Amino acid sequence: MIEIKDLTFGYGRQKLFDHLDLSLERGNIYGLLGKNGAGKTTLLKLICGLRYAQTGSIRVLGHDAAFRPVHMLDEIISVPEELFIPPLLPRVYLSLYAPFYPRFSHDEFRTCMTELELEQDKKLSSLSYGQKKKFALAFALASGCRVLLLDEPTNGLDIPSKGQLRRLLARASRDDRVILVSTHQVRDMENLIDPIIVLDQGRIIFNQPMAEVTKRLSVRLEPTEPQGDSILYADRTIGGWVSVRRNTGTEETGIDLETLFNTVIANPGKLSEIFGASRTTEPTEVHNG
Amino acid sequence: MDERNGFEAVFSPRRLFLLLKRDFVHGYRGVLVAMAAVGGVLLLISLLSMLGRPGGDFYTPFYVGLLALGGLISTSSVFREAHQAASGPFYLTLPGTLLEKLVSKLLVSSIGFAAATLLFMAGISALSELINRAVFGAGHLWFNPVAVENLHRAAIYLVFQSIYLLGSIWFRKVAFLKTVLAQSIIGMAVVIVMMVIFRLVLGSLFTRGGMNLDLGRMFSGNFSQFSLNGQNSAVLTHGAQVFGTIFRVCFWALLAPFCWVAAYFRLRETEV
Repeated sequence: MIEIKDLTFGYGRQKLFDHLDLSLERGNIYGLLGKNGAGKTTLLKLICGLRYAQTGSIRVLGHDAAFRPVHMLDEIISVPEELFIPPLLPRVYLSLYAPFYPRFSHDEFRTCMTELELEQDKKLSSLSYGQKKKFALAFALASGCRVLLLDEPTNGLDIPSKGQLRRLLARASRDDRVILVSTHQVRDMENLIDPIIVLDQGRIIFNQPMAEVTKRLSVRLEPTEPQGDSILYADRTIGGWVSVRRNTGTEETGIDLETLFNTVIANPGKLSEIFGASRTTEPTEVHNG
Repeated sequence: MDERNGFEAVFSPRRLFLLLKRDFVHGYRGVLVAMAAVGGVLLLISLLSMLGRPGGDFYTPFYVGLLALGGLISTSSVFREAHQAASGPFYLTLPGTLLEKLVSKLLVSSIGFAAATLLFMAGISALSELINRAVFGAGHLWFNPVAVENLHRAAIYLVFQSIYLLGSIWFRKVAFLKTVLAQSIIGMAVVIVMMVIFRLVLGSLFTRGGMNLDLGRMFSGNFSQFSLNGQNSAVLTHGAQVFGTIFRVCFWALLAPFCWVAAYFRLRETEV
């Protein structure tokens, strides 16, 4: 559905992506993780044609994203971190913007509004940031678009709303749809985003489904600090040390996203070996300046 | 993809209508406030002017001012939303083609603004003259929106407006002032080039050592200072007519389409 090939992009002389390749398939809710400045938001902008690749290509549903063709735009919707919500009533907003999306579902929108506990008769400009975010998410989920790009969707949401959003996203996942969630709040997206993509220093250093992760990595809680070359990552926690090793047995252990992310960042080379080069992009040279 | 779908991917009247409706709903409050403010000031000035010498063409200067300042300033801000951090991504990813987005902004700021200004001036002048006649028993001439001179002024506005539409998409910030500056610099450059061409092509016609560059005289429209002989005067007059024709064609037929095409490609290149 989304095919990025040999993408090079940078701001000024500073290169952000250098020959980056990524393929996103329908039916998945991808989690895009990365440190600050890794280029997550920029990658989302490139996918919806708001930034242009210096070299390489980005194709969304077969369309060249850089041309922003209308039949791509009515299939792709983005909820950015910095929202644009005009001072309108929800029904007026709906009457203005829903007709742009051919498969917009008013029933779905009402359901989302109810589940996210949003009032229909309050001017959007008077809502809090979290409420505006929920409104934008409700609209995006009801749009019927086949590509949903969500940048930090849980930022500003209260604790119940995070759970409600997870439920709505799980329900919105369809065979013909791809959802890409860029987030730092990995705990909020636990058990929802899968596969996991990790972006670091302008390259994809990890791109694996969670089933593969639990099959190949083993997580243990140990009373003392684990030692040895087999340790991929270790971190002190309440009651001991969490350690991550290569799973050599058949037993599968769960791994939380924060631990997985830290393991990937700490040991991209070893992770690449463990998972093989078939899905994890091999590290490539990044030229800065 | 059949032919209809192919055309629909470039231009759809339905999407154009949606974009126009959106612009109207977002902008009508601001327009109403501006109209109320300008209308109030006009009524007041009209009343005060009755204390002096009433009569004559009172409203035309205001109409010209409204077109030149109000129209060009508002045109300079039509694409502001495309440049801003929050509204830019929203606008640029709104399902509509570049052509539809350009045409919607063009219609609102050109024909839409000119027609609204004509109607507004007609309405305000009618109201103002009713008050003047009721209070003072006399008044100014009514502003006629379909008078040829007023329609001609609106047509001139439509051409100049295209420059400011281009400025609006070209410049991210302070588009109006930057467009005025750019227009002045380009205007001066064109005049200098024209003078050089004029000198090269027609200089030999002058009998006393060629043309002087006294700008005051150059623009006086009176060629007698060049001491032409009678034979060459006809050639020069013909040359001036040719230049005039070229200028008119460039202004009325080429300037606006050039700006629209440039604005289209600039919108195509806009990143946020």
